[in-house]
Amino acid sequence: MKRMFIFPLLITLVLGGCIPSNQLEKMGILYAAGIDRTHNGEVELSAVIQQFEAQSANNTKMVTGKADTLRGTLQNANLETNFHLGSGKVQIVLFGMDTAKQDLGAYIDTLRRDPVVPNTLYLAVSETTARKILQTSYSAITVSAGRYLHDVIDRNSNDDVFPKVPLYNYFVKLSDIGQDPMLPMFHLYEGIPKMDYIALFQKGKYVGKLSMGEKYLLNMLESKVKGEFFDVSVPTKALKQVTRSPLNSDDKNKNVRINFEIAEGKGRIRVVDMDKLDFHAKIKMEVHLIETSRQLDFNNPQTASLLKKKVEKEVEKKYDKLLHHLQSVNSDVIGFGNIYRANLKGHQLTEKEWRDKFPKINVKFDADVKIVGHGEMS
Amino acid sequence: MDINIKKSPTSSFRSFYLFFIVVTMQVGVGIMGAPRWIFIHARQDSWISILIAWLAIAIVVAIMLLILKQYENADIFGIQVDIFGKWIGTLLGLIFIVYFFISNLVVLATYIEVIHVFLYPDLPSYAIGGAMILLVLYAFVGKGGLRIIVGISFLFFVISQLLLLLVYEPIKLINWHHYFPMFQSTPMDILKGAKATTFTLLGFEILFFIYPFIGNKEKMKLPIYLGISYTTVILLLATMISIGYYSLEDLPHMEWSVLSYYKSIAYSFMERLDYIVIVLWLLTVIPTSNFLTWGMMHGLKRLFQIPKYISLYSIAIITFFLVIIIKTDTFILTATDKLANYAIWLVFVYPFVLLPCVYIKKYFRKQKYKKQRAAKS
Repeated sequence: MKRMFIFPLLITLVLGGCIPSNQLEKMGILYAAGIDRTHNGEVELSAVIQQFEAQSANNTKMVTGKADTLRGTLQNANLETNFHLGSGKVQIVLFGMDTAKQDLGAYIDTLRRDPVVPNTLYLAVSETTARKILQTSYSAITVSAGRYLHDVIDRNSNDDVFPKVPLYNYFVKLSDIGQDPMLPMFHLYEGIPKMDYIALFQKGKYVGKLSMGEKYLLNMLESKVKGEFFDVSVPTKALKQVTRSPLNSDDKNKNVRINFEIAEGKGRIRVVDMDKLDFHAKIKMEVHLIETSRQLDFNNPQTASLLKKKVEKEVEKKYDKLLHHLQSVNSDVIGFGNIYRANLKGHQLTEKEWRDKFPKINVKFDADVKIVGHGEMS
Repeated sequence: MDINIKKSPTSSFRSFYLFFIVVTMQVGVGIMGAPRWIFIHARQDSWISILIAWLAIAIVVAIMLLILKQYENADIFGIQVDIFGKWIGTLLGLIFIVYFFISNLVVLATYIEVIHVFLYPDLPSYAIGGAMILLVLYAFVGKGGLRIIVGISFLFFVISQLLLLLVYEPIKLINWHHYFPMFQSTPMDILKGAKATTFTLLGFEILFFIYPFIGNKEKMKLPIYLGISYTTVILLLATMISIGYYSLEDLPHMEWSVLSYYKSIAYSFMERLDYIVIVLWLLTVIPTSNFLTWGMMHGLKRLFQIPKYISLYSIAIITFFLVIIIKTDTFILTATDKLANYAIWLVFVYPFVLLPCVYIKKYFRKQKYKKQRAAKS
C-alpha cells in the first residue's frame, strides 16, 4: 500500500501546474491609480504602471481607461498596453475633486471587496483631477509618480497617523456612525504636487478643507503624537516682562511667533452631559521650543510659566476654531459621535441623528502644555 | 459487534495529546468567519456569549466523559448498540458517520472557497480538493493509523500558532470606543450569540470516538478542559479584535473577518502577508479532515466490518466528486447552517438523553447480575 501511494503523490506535484502563472516580464505592476469622472458620468482611471522590459530605459508608464465600473476601466486600460495589469501592489489611489464631491463610497467598496488590492494602500485627494497630478509629477519628478506621492505621505507622518490614511482606516471611518473620514489633498504648486490641505468628508462626500498645518490638532485627539511641529503667535505685549531686549513702540502690535516640536501629545475626550451634548477634551502636550521670533529670557523663572499659559490659551483657541469649522461643514473627523455612541445606552445612534446633533455640540478644550526644553540656548 | 474495544499499546496514545486533538478539531475553518456570526446577535457583548458557550461545552464534555466512564473501554458505536440494540444503535452510529462526512465536506469546500476568493480565482476546485484529499489520504498510508494523525495534529498545532504572533498589528489599530456601550444586548440576543459560538466550537465530539484509544485515562480531564479553554480564548481574541478593528456597521458583512485583518499587515520584506496566512491555514484544515476521515473509517468498520482501506478510498473519491460539484458560496453557507443546526442536537442535546439511558441499563444489568448470583447460591 505504501508503494502504491507514490503515484497519487506524484499527482499532487502535477496539480501544482494548475496554478495560473504570472511572469514578471509580462506584468505591468500598477503603482498608483487616479480616479476621475468624465462629463458623461464614466469613470476614468489613470494608472501609473511599472513594467520590467529589458530594453526600455524608462520603466514607468501611464495608461488610461474609461468605463462604467472601476474594474471595467482597468480592463479598458489594459487595451493600451502589451502587459497584463496587476493591481496587487497599488500604493496609492488618488481621487479627483469631481469624484470626491460626489461620493467615494462605491469606489472604496470596490477596492475593499477585491482581495487582490492591498489593504495598506494610501488614499488621497487631488484638488483638480487626479489625472493632472499623476501626469505632472510623471514628467517633472525623476522617481515614478506613484512612488513620489506615496513617499510624500509617508515621510510626513510619524507612526500611523494622518496624513497616512490606509484603505482599511478610511473604510472603518466611512461606515462607523459618528465618525467621518479625512484624506490628504494634493494640489499643483509650481508644477509639482504638494500636499497642502486636509480634505474633510461627510462620509464619502468631500465637504471642505483645512490647512495641513492643523493636522497635529487632529492627530493628538486620535492617538499619541510625537515629533510634529506647530506654530503659535503670542502678542508681544503679553510677554513684555520676559523678553531679553526691551520693547519698542512699534513692537506693541506685533506678535512673537514661536515654533514648538511636540515631544509627546495626547488628547482625551469625555462626554460631560449626554443631553446637552457637552464634551470635555483634555490635551496634554510636552513640547520643545524650537524657534522664537524674539529672544526670550529663559533664565527668568517667570518665562516658562507665562509662556505656558499663553501657549495653552492659543492652542485652545485653535481647537475652538477648528471645531467651529468642522461643525460648519458638518464633518466629524475627530469622532465625537463615536464617543457619544459609546456612552449612549438604550438605543443605537443613527447616522442622521448624529448629523443633526454634531453642529450643536459644545466642547470645552483644556490644554495642558509643558515646555520641557528650549534647545541649546536658555 | 464487541461493545468494548480491546486495549492495545500499539494503537493507543497518551492523554497529553488530547489537548491538541480537541484544539485541532475545534479550530477549523469556522473561526475565520465566526466573529461575524456572534456579533450579529450579541453586538458588543459577544464576549459574554463566548463565555456562556464555553461553559455549555464544559458541561457537555463532562456528561460525555461520564457516559464513557460507565464502560470499560467503549466508544459511541459500542455504547449505542449496547443500549438501543443492534438496529437502532447501528442507525444512530450511521448518523454520526454522516455528520462527520458532511463536516468534512464543509471544511474542505470552505477552504477551497477561501483559496478561490483570496488567491486563485481561476484555479479549478479539483486541483485544490484533489491535493488536499491526497494529503489526507497520505496520513493513513502505513500502519500508524490514529497515532500518526495525532502526531500530525500536534506538529501542525505548534506551527500554526505562529499566526497568533502576527495579530499584534491589527491590535494596534483597534478603536477602543467600539467596545462600548457594553451590556446593551438582551439576554435572548446573548444566548443566540452563544448558540452561534457553539457552532464554531464543535468538534470535541471526537472524544466519543477516540476514548478507547487513550492510554492513561486517569489523566485525561486536564488536557481536554485545557483544550476547550484554549480554543475559547482564541475565539475570544479573534472576536474582540474583529469588533475593535472593523466598523460596527461593517462587521456583520465581513465574510472572513479574521483573514481580512491579516491584510493590514505589511513588512518591507513581505508585502502581502495575508497570502502566507491563508496557505498556513491549511495546517489547521488537514488535521481536522484527518480526524473526521478516521472517525468515518473507524465507525464503518465497527458497524459494518468494512475493511478500512475500502472505506478510506470510497470516502475520498465521493468527497472528491462532491467538492468539485459544490461551486457557489451560498450553497456552502446554507449547508454549514443546516449542518450546524442539526449538530447542536446531536452534540449538545443527545448526550443528555444518552446518559440516563446508560444509567438505567447499568442498573438493570446489576439487578440481573444479582439475581444470577442469588440463583447460583
